Amino acid sequence: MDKILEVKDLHVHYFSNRKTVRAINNLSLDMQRGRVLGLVGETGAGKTTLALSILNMIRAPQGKIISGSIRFDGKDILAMSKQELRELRGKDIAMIFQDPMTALNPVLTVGDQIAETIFKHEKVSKDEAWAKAEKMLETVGIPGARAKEYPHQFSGGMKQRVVIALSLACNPRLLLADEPTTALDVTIQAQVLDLMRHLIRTYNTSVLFITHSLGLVVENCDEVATMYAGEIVEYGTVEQVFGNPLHPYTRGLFGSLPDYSEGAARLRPIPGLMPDPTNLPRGCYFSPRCPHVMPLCEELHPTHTSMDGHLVKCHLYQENANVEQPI
Amino acid sequence: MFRYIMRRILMLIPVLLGVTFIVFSLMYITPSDPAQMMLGANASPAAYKQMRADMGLDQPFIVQYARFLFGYKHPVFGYRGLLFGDLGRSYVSNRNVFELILSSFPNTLILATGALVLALVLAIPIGILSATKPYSAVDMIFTVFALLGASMPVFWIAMVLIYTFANNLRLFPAMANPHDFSSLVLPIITLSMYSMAIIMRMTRSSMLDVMQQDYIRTARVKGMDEKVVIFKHALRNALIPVVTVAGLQFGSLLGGAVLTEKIFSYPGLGSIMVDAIYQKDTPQILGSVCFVAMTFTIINLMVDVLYGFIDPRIKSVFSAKKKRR
Repeated sequence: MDKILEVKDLHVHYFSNRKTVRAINNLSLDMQRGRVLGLVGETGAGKTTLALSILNMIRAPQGKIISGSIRFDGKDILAMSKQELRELRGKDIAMIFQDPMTALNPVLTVGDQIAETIFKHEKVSKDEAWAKAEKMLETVGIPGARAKEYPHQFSGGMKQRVVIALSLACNPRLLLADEPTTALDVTIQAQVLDLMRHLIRTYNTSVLFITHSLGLVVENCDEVATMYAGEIVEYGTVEQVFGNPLHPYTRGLFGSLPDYSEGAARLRPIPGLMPDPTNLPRGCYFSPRCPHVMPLCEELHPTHTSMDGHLVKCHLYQENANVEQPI
Repeated sequence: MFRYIMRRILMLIPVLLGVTFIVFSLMYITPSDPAQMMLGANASPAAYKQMRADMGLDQPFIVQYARFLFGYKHPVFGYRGLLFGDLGRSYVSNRNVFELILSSFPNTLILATGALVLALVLAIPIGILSATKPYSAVDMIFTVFALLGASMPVFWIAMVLIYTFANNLRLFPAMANPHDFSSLVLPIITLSMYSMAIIMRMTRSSMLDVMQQDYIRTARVKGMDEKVVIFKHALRNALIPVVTVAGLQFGSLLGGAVLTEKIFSYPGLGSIMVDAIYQKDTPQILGSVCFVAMTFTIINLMVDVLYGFIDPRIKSVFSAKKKRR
């Protein structure tokens, strides 16, 4: 399988009040073509920052990609000119944002907002772009005639459908879906996800599915990556990670889910908070919260260990690579 | 939309009644005596008493106010009342109050429109420029400029301009009249300074706010050119508060060009008001102030209607109200 996206040794920092917020730390991640990669992690782990970095949309002077490389189909996104980036964005890589309420421009009709993307990226006339915009709306289950309406005339779920139509308008090869259903209520969530699954299959789009819901990952994704304090701590297929979660943080995430089979009424949340990104621990970033912390963890930052493509960044597995280690 | 405008026009009636009441009350409690002024200092007490009766000044306040609104029958001092657009004649010039206002108002309109257009033409692009490069050297320079514009008093600007461009360089005349464009340059610049500063700052902050919105990020993610992002996606959203401020500024330019008009000896409404106040010409003051208040409210109505064209959300509020009926 070939890689559509390769992120290598990425560092992204934000600057505020003379402090450096280390949002992404030495992050490496590969995405296979035509697959759906789930990216899970708690708020502030740097999931959205990673997605914005992939589009080279980290805005100076507040944020900066310090080092690393992001290759999309072999081309280095970070080395692209502004012109090349504008052609890439919306056409090859599209993004769906978390909140459909604010993602659409209130003073432009939804048809216009879709059509302008098509007009920008495809060699079509304005009328053809508009016709295609109406067709895209119909694809997501909105009557084409509603293209003339403004975002405030749509409900939340409908708005997210518009956003999906917008992002898939130019058949992107990679879709960055940043918590596309978090702002929607549960019944609408299911509808929108069904729609997305259908469209992704139809267009054979590769998807980076950012979420903090493990349930959505198992339903929608092929691979999964767990993100903590700006780095990927575990990566594998859904079967690998869900069948045998290795990293204590991933295990903690599973422990935070209610388990009705055991009849336990209480959740087991991970104690403590994510480390302050302006002042990350010297060793493993998870060590202050880790139930299996060893003296080594506080001294040395772990590197990736691979077990049949199941990657984990934890000292527990470092010496015993390829051996399943019960904790 | 039409019904909305009609409703707003109906709502003007209580507003204008309130304004006229306040203006009339203020004039009533002002320690000036028109009768004394008409007769001069040496009038006999009997003549004075007669004059007060003729002018209706011996009546209680409420009667005087009613007459002001609905008219006063008297061969010399009578008028049909504010409701019928007649406040009688000026005590000083003996000309019809509203005729004088209507003949001078176009002159003020020229000056105010010129000032507003100049302010908008310069302030909006500068505001956008400042917002796209916040805290840059360009932004700092225009911030200082705006601060100066907002804090320099009009009469001082006018005098500096006259001293420099009329007196020393002799580029423009120091006296303005509506028939000579070059004479309007200095008063228009003077008048537009403050509005320009305010509109510039408003455009900047509104634009900065809009540029942080998610839909701007969406537009960028779609690969839109920065020009399209700024002018198509951001500007229309950013203009809503700017239109409010510009409308308010236009209103106060129309009513508040007093100092500028006086300094440039310009025959506008402001000059007439100042003269009327100096001469304690009650009908003229009342007429002018009511007229200015009316223009101000009408301009605000126009601004509100304009919103509907900029922001579809506001327009749909109008039509939703219509549907409900």
